[in-house]
Formats: sequence, structure tokens, C-alpha cells
Amino acid sequence: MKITSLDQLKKIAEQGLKLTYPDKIKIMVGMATCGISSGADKVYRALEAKIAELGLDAALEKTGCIGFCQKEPLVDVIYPGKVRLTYEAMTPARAEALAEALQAGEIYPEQLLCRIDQEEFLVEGKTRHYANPHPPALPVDVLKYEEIPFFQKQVKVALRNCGFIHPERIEEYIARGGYTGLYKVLTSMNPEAVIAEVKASGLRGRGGAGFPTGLKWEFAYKNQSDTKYVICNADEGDPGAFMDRGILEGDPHAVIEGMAIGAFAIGAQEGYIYCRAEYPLAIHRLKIAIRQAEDLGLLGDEIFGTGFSFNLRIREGAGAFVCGEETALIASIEGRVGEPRPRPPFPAQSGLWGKPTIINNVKTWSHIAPILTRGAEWYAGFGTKSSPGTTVFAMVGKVNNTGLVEIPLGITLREMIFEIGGGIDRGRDFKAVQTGGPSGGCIPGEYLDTPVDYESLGALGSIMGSGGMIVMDERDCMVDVAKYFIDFTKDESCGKCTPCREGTLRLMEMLETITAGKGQEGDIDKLVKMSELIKKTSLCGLGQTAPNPVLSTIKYFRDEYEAHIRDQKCPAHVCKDLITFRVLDQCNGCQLCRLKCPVEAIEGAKKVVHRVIQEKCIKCGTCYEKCKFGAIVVE
Amino acid sequence: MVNLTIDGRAVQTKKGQTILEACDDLGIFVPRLCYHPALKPIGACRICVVEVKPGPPRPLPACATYVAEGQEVVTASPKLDVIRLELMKLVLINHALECPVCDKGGECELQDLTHAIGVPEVDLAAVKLPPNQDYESQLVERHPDRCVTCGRCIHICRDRVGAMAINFTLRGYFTELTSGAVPLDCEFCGSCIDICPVGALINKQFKYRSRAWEVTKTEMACPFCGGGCTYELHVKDGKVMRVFNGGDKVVLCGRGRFGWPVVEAPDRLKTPLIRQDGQLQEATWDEALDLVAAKFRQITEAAGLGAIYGVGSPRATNEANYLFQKFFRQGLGTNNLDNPGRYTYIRALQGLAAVFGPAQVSGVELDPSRPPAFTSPYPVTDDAKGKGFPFVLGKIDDLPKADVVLVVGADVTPELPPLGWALLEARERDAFKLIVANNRRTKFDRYADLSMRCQPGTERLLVAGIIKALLAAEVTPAIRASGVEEFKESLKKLTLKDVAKKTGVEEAAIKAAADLLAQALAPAIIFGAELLAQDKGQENALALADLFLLVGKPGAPGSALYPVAEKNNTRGVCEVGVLPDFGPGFAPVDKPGAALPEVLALLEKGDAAAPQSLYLLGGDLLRFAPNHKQVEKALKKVPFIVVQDAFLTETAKLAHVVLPVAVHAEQEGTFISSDGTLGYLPRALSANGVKPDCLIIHEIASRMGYSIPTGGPANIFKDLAKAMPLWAGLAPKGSEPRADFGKDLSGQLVPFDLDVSLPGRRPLTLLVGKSLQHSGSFTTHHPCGALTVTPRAELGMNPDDAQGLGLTEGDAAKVTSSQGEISVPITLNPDLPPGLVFLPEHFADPAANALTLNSNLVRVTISKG
Repeated sequence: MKITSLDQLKKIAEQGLKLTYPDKIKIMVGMATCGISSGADKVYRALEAKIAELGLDAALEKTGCIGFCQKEPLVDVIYPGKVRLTYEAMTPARAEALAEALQAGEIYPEQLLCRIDQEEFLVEGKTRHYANPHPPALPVDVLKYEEIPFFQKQVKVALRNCGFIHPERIEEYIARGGYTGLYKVLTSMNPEAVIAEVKASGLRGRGGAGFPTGLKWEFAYKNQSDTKYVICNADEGDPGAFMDRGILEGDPHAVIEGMAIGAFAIGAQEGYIYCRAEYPLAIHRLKIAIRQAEDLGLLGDEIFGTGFSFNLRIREGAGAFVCGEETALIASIEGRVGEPRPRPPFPAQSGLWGKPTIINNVKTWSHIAPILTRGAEWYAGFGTKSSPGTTVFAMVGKVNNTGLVEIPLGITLREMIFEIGGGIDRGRDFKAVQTGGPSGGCIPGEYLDTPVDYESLGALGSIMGSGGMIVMDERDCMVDVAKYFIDFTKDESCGKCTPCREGTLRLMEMLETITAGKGQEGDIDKLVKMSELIKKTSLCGLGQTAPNPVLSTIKYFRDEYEAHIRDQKCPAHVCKDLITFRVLDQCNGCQLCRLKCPVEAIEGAKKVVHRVIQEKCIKCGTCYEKCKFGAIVVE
Repeated sequence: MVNLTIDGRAVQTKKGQTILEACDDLGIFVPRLCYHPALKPIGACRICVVEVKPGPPRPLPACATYVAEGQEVVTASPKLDVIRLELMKLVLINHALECPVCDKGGECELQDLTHAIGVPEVDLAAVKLPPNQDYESQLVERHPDRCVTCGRCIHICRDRVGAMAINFTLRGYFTELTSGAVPLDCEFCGSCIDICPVGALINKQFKYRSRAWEVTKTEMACPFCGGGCTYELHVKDGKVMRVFNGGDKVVLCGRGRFGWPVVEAPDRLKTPLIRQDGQLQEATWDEALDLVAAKFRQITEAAGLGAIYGVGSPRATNEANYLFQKFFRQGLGTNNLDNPGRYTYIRALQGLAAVFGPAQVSGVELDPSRPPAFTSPYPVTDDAKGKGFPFVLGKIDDLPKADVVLVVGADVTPELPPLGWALLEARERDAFKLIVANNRRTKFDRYADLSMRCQPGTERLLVAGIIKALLAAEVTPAIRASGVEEFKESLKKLTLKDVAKKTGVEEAAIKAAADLLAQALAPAIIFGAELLAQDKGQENALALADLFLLVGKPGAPGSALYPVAEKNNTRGVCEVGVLPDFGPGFAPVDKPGAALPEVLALLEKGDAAAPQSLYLLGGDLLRFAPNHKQVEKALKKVPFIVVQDAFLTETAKLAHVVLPVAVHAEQEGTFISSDGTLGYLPRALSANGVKPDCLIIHEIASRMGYSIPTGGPANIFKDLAKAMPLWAGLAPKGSEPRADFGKDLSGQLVPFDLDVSLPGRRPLTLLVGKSLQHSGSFTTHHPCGALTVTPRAELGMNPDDAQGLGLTEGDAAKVTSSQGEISVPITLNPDLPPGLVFLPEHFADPAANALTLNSNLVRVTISKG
């Protein structure tokens, strides 16, 4: 069936509501990559078998990631008309117990993370309550969703549907207001009005550079051409970042609808989603989503029966980080080597196959539909004046709550790390937070009250980036961190321009010398000089930002560099060439370390103080981790 | 114009220029490594960074930053010096410093830049990369350890040549130039060599033969095809070292760059030969020339002045050909002469002339002052007007300005490489559309917006279909056209359905082509020798001339007809009057002589009117004329044949006197390229005992008592150019650009033959055409570089056809036509459709024309063995 009217769209929405909220118990397993890697597929299979075995009258469904990756696998149970309960860290055994409890009409009391009493239907600005009129009291003690610190300060726009719908069912997306934005645009707006709305919203590119999205669209709109393209950049490559994956796996239609609106606005007929091949599940779900949208006439020829046609294709990246740079991405789609080229001409002038093209990130696209339905003013109500709206971060590292976090721009780093993130793992001391992936910088503790927005982070020598946020504690060596990122960029440099190709390897070599304890006076200056050269003269964003981790760590943690060079010491005890493990006299000879040492570098009989054989020791730190008596020290 | 300041100096530059281009124009030196004027900005080396205000806080590459009003640019400052120095250190860090043995030494841009920037030492160390030299590829040697990763070679190969044969592999520091895991398999044009700033790509022909500064450089016109390219010939101790094209354009084809060793071929003729007792024996020049003069006198006295028939040469200079026709017209007083273009290019001119009328020039007057050497004495004034067919012929430099190009029956690159480069340039414009109509897949199908595959020999019918669709849409010609009604009538019975059926091209495609042409603001039509060599080649040209009359917009640059004049002087030999019916400048003659095919037919029949003697200026009739058997029979009946050639060709072997001639670079002269530019050929080598054509003709003439101009080519050109108002404004390429005539065009639509049937019942169609590496038979002499790439004739065949015949790659195939039989190894070529086989025309054994009758298409049977 091809949808041509709002009534037909509403009919699909009704079907979707029935699928999302069936009249019987519904069990949802978070089956994004984060869930699956924590064992959600095993949980799902265990549930499936148990439900069949018990003959339990319940619907078992998959959903995307609700963001709280730390607690995966997550399982939700919706009691029709009552409440939704979220269970954390599920295992097949716990899942079976859950099924049995459900069969017995009881509430499974273990592993309860929270209860959800209502959901926000963001696109329409409505709230759907599970129970009417009042949420039921439960026999177990459980926090409400909005009381969980991790969720409390979040505002989910891009992530609006993740973890709430089945990502492989377009009906469920439509049930939550999906495609009403596209309908509104195609039936009641002209391209100028759409662009004006996006401009008014103040939305800035969420890929990292923060270029005003509406302005970019306007450039492409104004460039006359019979053929234009829109591209979704889903070549997410920053180490530790998985925002785009979360959205594509949890809510692919949000991106598709946004792209269709963008295509209408600039006058494009074709679009490409450039997704890295390392995201097979995202690609699988995108393919399903595109097919479903085509079947309903929401993609393809004459969408909604209007004169607007838009076809969408997927192109898989072959694993080059630099293909996230827009000109390299275009080259890759065209079948050429993924290398950036000088701009101008900008893609909005001459992009894919020489035609005007806009490229936006997954997150940017998924903001579009709500902006068009709720209006620019609503959207600009979040965030700050210069950085309106919300953005998604992938919070990882030494923080208690890791996961996908969508915040209104302008909240402070402290709020993010210590409230949403729940503070530092094992109560250790915060040292730095790295934003923006390999292009970003490390921000030390004294700037924790900095608001998260494009300008403020930039002023600290870091960047917003596409949303990677790595929290580091006292046991992270900042020289090693810089080395880690340079190691990444030197591998990912495409090799086209001189400073990035040659310079990043020089930086790597210098950092290796320093971490090996062979650094010399003046090395820091050499690092800075080379970093500045690369930053100033590189062709594309990769090179221009590659030295940021080095420069920001030197700026804020120069003493650590100096300790490595002058004292041949690694204060965080990370750099292996600069540390030794030693057993203290308080050792009671329990033998645990001796047994666990992978290279038999510890000797000592039972109940005799042990000794580390330094020549054999590979400084893996196993003994230090394993000793229960604090008898092993790093020096 | 844009106003800005560069280094504090207020300057005006052209709009749309980059800062680097502007600086080059103004004579401000900005160091650079990856930038090359032949390419679009690459932006890889970053050495050309300059400070730009307003702009970002970092310096910007001058090569990729465009000038803007009010901009302040600083090209030299202590800050920039440091940046450039540090970048140079990074470039040098992994460059194999083997300058003493590197071919590039002395002309290496990296050496020069290191010197200019003053890099004292490289205080950085790095892992050395494995050298990975490529010694295996033909003609080109690769040293990735010398590569500075500028990307020029890749860009020229992809964007200018369209071969895409090389690319970078790996990433970051380990980025390396590669042709894949196999040796180069490309067009072997060598453009990558001359654009390489360092010695990473070197010319095997040049390696270790000379240092760059030891050679004498002479710029000259390329002697192979009609493309009109110029290059530098580098000579040391009287020997050619290499062909080099380091200027702004760089691109040359493989024939031009690697074909020069024909000069040194061991089978070059060095002394005259005289037939004695049935054998060709070496003789002195005087013996040979005396014999020729005596025999010519004897024959004319016995059989009349017309008894000697002359065949001019599309390889020889304008001056030689002009003298040649003068010898016949003024000396012998006959118009019995022609040139081998009769089988191809002349057909195009005749077709065009039928529609657009004869050549007429008005409003030009002889300049009484002495023009520089090899320059027309007719300046072009505002009154100059040109009428007739020469004025619908296009210039290659204008082709990129066309917005729709229709290619019919031509594999563009082998036919005329510069046309292909011009098409690639045209493609860079958004609005450009390319239509390719061919019987097989060619290189440009990849770039075509509309690609039509027609049955071999049906091209003319396809054109008729396009014309029919245009007439149905009632297009109004931009050129004054007469004969419209009769013309419409001639196509009345033709239906598009019929055309589609016979040509194999869908109706929709024909209509789409017509639509594109009808809407075009500057349409151009390219057709090649392959289309003209069909027996009805002239009808093909006529059909395309009609089509151009309907859609052409001659006022728009680039909107023109581009028939390929295949050899270096195919157009010149016609323009200077080596034709039976026209003198120099296409001036009609009173009593036209007989055309070459008629003469051959007369000879074969043993007709009394057949000439008693042939005087051939080069022109290996046995090699290029279709129907080898007939030509051989005819030639054997001629009592006295004189051949002037550099090699003992098949035809020369039948001659009675063979006179060895100088080839290019051994003689001075001019050529007219396919697009009408004048190529100048200075003398760069000594003639080593052989004589230039002009001198030989002159010596025969004077022995016969005829007075024809002499005093060297410059003098002959003066005499020639005086007779050529058509050449008004002409000057050697690279000096003054040829001024444009006002065009006063009108035409008459002339009905053409719609019968495209190919006689015979044999199952396969053989097409005899051009190979990319060769030019006539000239390049088939060892040690020519072209010969190392394509050493022999192979029969191209669709893999399915081959499988059906039980043949695989390299198998010998027996090819039989009504005319003869040959054995030839086959090569599988999926670009050929089933039913079509292809044989290059250049080789003596097997000779493709042993199979053909009067066309380059013939039906054949193929079997194993």
C-alpha cells in the first residue's frame, strides 16, 4: 500500500500502537550491538524457549538501545494498562526465572532497574501513560525512570525512539508520530520555508564542526542543478564513539525521514547513507527500514502522492577513518580512493558526481523531523543561544554509568560526568575528560564546570566532536593517552598531504621515545612545534585536529611529560618502560600472584615473601591487580 | 578583475584564479611541489601555503585558495619560511637521496625546491620504507622510494588521460604508488613520467643515457597522428635521447612519446635502390635520380604527360607535397595525382563539401611586409569571411566548449588521442553531454551520457534515424539551409522502428540523442577514419554533414564537425592540392585527373588509359589500400614505379627505383593537423645520407628541366602560402593563435544512401581499425616503443564467439573472406559484441587488407588453426 493521505498514515499509526502496546504482556530485549555483545541474544533465545515451554501468553520483541549500556542486557516488561519494568544485567537463567514469574502472575523482583509509568511521544508533544488514571503500586521497591540519575538530566530528541520501538517495524515508528513531519513538509510547506525553519532552530552539524545546518541547506538549495544529492554520514570512526550506531540500530527511520525532508528542501532526488561496514546490524536494519518505507510510499516515486520523489541507497565504507571527512566520503561513494580534496568547491556547490550535495551526520538528520513538527522555537528552547538543542554523547571510560547520553547543550561537564555518569569508577579521582575523539583534547578537572557547547569546549583546546566522551582517572597517563590517539591518527591518515602523512608518525616516534624514558630536554618544544605545523598546514580536518590530544595534554599536564623526560617516571604508573613492580615485606606468601603471573616472573615459596624477577617481568600489572593485601607496589 | 594586495602590492587579477595562478601571472614566486598547471589543485604538499586575510588563522594553500576582492595575501614571511622549511624536511625525510643515479637529476623539482628553500639538514629520522621498485613494466620504471606522494601522476592519468592505471595504496606514512600487484597495463602514454616532479617514474628509453643538462632541446610537431601535438626532442651527440613534454600540458600519447626510435630503426633505407635483373640493388643518388629523370622523360615522350601518376603523402611535409603537386602540374602539366586520404579523409571533405559548398575565402589581402618564417602572408582582418566546408571543421582547443558531443563510429583515443583529452576536459563542465554511437564498447562509453551500440556498418542509418526524429520535432536549423523538402522526401519511407531494427539501437535512444542535439547550444560531431573507410564512407560523411546542418550552431565555439585526419599531414596534403581535382587551397582545376582507386582499377584491367609510371611519395599502397590482392596485381603491371620512402615497404619492394628519405627531425617543414593548426618541424638530426623529400623532388624536377621553387622549406612555404588565402592568419602552433574567420555558412540538405547492407553470408563481421599504440605502419619498426607494447596483430574476439569456435586466448585462427585467408592469433575482448571481430590495420603479416574488398568491414568465417 502506498500512503497518500494523513488518514492512511494514522491508520498505520494505529496498527503500530497495537504492535507497541499489545493487549498482553510484552517482553522487550534491548538488541542493539551493545546489548548483543553483553549477551542479549542469549537472553532473547532463553526467553523464547521458556515462553514456548511454559505456553506463556506474552509477546517477545526486540528493541534498540535505551542508552544505558552499562546495565546491558536490558529486558523490559510491559504490563498492559499498568506499568513497564526495566530489568538490568539479565542472563539466560534470570530470563527464565522472569518468564516463570510472569507465568505465575508475579513480579520478578531481581535485577530491577526502574519502572516506567509514561513515555513521551516527542514528535507530537504528547505523553502516553501506561496506567490510567494512576500508576499502580508495586510490591517491590523500585525507582522511577525519571529518578534514575542517568536518565534524569537527559532530553531525548535524536534518541526519542531508541529502546521504545522495534527498529525493524515502521508501524511502531509511525505510531510515535513518525513521518508526520515529512507529510507536513510535503503537503504544506515549500523548500524555502523548510530551510527557514531549520535555520531558525539554530541546529548545528552534530558531526563535529557545528556548521549551521540550515545555512548549509540554503547554499545547496541556491545552487541550480537538475540533480542534487543528500548524504548521511554514518562513517562513525572515533574510538569509543557509538552514537550513530545507537540511532541507526534503534531508530533507523528517524534518519530516513530527516533525509527525505532535507532532500525536499534542497531539491534532491537521491540520497546515500554512507555507513561503515563494521556496523552490520545498523546496515541490516537500515535496509529493512528503507524497504518498508518504499513499500508504504514514503520513499521512492511521488511520496505521499505528491510530486516529490526520493530514493535512498546505502554505501558501505571500507574501514577508513578519513572517509568521515566529507570530500573523502564523496570520493569513496564515487568509487575512488577515499582521500580528501581541497575545498572550495564545497559539496554544497560541487559534491557527489559534481552535483550540489549536502552531507549531514546521523544525529543531525535525526533531529530534523521533530524540528519540523514541533517548530524551531521549541527546539531552540533547549540548549544555549549559540548552541541550541540537544546532542548525543557516548560516555565511556572510568565512569560508573557508561552509555549513550542525550543532553541539552550547555549543561556542565561536571553534571555529565558526576550526575549522569555517576562519578568515577571505584571512587578514584577524576583526572581528565577527552571529548571529540582523536580530534579532541583532554580537559582537566579545573574546567569541569565548563558548559558543554561548541565554543566553550573549543576555547579549552578540545572540540565538541561527534560525541565521544572518554573519562579518565588518576591511573591514566596523559602522555600515554596522547600516544594512543596519535597512534590512531597516524594509522588513519590517508597519506595525501605532507604534514599529516609524515608529521603524525614523527609525533608518534617522539611520544614513544618519551614513554620509553629516553626523552630529552626540548622534546616537549619539538612536539609542540610539529603539532602546530600539522595543525596549521594539513589539508583536511583529520590532520588539522590530529595534534589536539598532544597539545591539550601538554597544555594541562605538562608536568607529566616533564616527569617522563626528567625523572624517567610515569606518575600514573602506565608506561611500562618506566615502572617496576616490587613485592613489599608485608607479603604473606599466599602465592596468588605467583600463580596468576603469565610469564612466571614471581618466585617465592608458600608463606615466604615473594620476589618479582625483573628480567622476566612484562609489567602487565596482573600481580598488582590480584594481590589482596596491597603487598605489591608499582614504582 | 579582482583587486587585492599581494605582499603589500596592490594588484589586479583575473576572476576565478587561484592565488598561485595569480602569483605566477604576476611573476611572484611561490614555492610549490604538487601543483601543476595541467591539473586541478591537488593540495597535497602544502608547501605553497600563504597568509590570507580575511581568512582562518592558519595559512592557506595558494594553489587551492581563490582570489577575492580586497584580500590581503602574504607569500613570504619568516613564519611561512619556517613552515615551508619544516614541510620540506618532512618531504625529504623518506626520499631516497640517490640523485647521482637518478634520471631526474638536474631537472628535479625537489632538488630545485630544496635549494630554493635552503634546507640545511633534515634533523628528523624515520623508518626507511621498502623500495618496491617496478622494473617489470614496459617503458615506465617506478621507484616508489623516490616518490613524494604529490599525486600528480595519478591525477593526470585519471583526469587528463582517462586511463586510471595507477593509484596510491596503503595509508599514512606507508602510502605508495602502485599499479596493483601487476605490472602497468595502461595506455602507455608516459604522461606520468613527465609530470613527476622527482624520479619516481622514469622513462626506460632515457634511463642512464644522458644527464638532463647534456641534451639539446628542440620543440617540434609530433609526426605520428593528426593530433597536432608538439613536444621537445632531446638530442645528444646526434642521437635522440627522448621525447619530453614538460610544459603546461604534459599529455602526449604513447606513439608520440615512445615512437621516436623509428628514426634509428636498423631497417631504415640508407642508399637509393635500383632494380637490376629483377633485383633491387644499391646505387648512388646520381645514378638513381638520373635514371628516374630519364625514364620519366622517356615515358612522357612516348605516352604523354599524363602517363606518370603521382601519389602524395600524408606523412610528408606541406612543402614536400606542395612541390610534388607543382612537379606534376607545372612540370608535367597534368592533374594525374592524388593522395591516400582518398580512402578516408577526402571522403569526409567531399561529404561536407556537398552540403556546405566549396571553400571560399574573401576579404583577405596579401600583406606586403615580410611575415616571419612559416607564417601566412595573409593577415586576418575584420572583413575576412570564410564560406564552405573548411569552415565547419572544428579546432580541438574549442571542443571542450561544446555542450553536446556526438561520437559516431570512432574509438576516439586510437583515432586521435587529443580529441579524447579534449572530451575529458569537456566532461568537467556540468552541462556537458556525451553521446557515443559505436559498433563496440570503447573507452568513451564509460563517460557517455548516452551510449548506443549499433550493428557494424549501420551507423549511417542510425544518423538517418536521428535526423528523422529531429525533422519530426521540426527543428529549425541555425544555418541557412536549402533543399529541406526534397531531403524530407528522401526520408519519407524511413521509420524509426525500422532504423531500430536494422541498427539494433532502441527507438527511445535515437529519440533521446535527437533531443540532446536539438537542445544543444554548441553541438559537435566527431567521426573517425573507421567510419570513412567503409565503402560508403562518403555517404557517412554526407549524413553527418546533413545532421550538422540541422543542429549545428557555428557561431558557438566548439560547435563544429571533427572528422579525423588520421596522419600528421592528412589534412595538409589535401589543402596543398595533392588532389586530381583541386589545386592548393582547394582551387578547382580545369581538367581534373583520375582519382587513385580509378587508376588502380585501370591498371588492374590493363586499360590503355592506365598510367605507365607511378611516382609514390611514401604511401605504402599495399599496406593501407583495401583489397591487397587487387592492388598487388595492379602494381605489378606498372612498367616503372618510383617510391620515396624511409623503409623498404611492401610497395617499395615492387618499385624500380627506391629513394630513401629523411623522416621527422631529420628535415624541416610544416604539417597541418586534423584541426587545421600548423605544426612546425625544425631539423634536429642530421640526415645521414638520406635526403629530404623536397630535395629529391627538386632534383628530379631540375634534371627534367622544370623550374620549381627551391631554397629550403622556408622558401617553399613562402611560395605555397601565397597561394593559400585559406591559410590566412596561420602561424606555427605555439606562436600566434590562428585568428578566426568570420563565418558565412549556408548549406543544402543532400539526401544520402540509406542502404547499409553488408554483402555476403559469412557469419562474422571483421572490422579493420586502429590500435592505440600504432600509427599507420610507421611505428611497426623495431625498436619503436609502441612495438614493445603491441608487438603483433591479434584478432580481437568476443569471448562467447571464441568459446563457440573452441578458441582461447592466443590460439591461431584461420580467417577467411571472399578475398583471401589469413592466420592470426586471437585475443579475447569482451568490448566487442558477439559477431564482430577486430583486426588492427598496421601490420604486414598478417595483412588485414588481404581480407577486405573495398571497405574496412568484411564478412568472414573463422576456424581453428
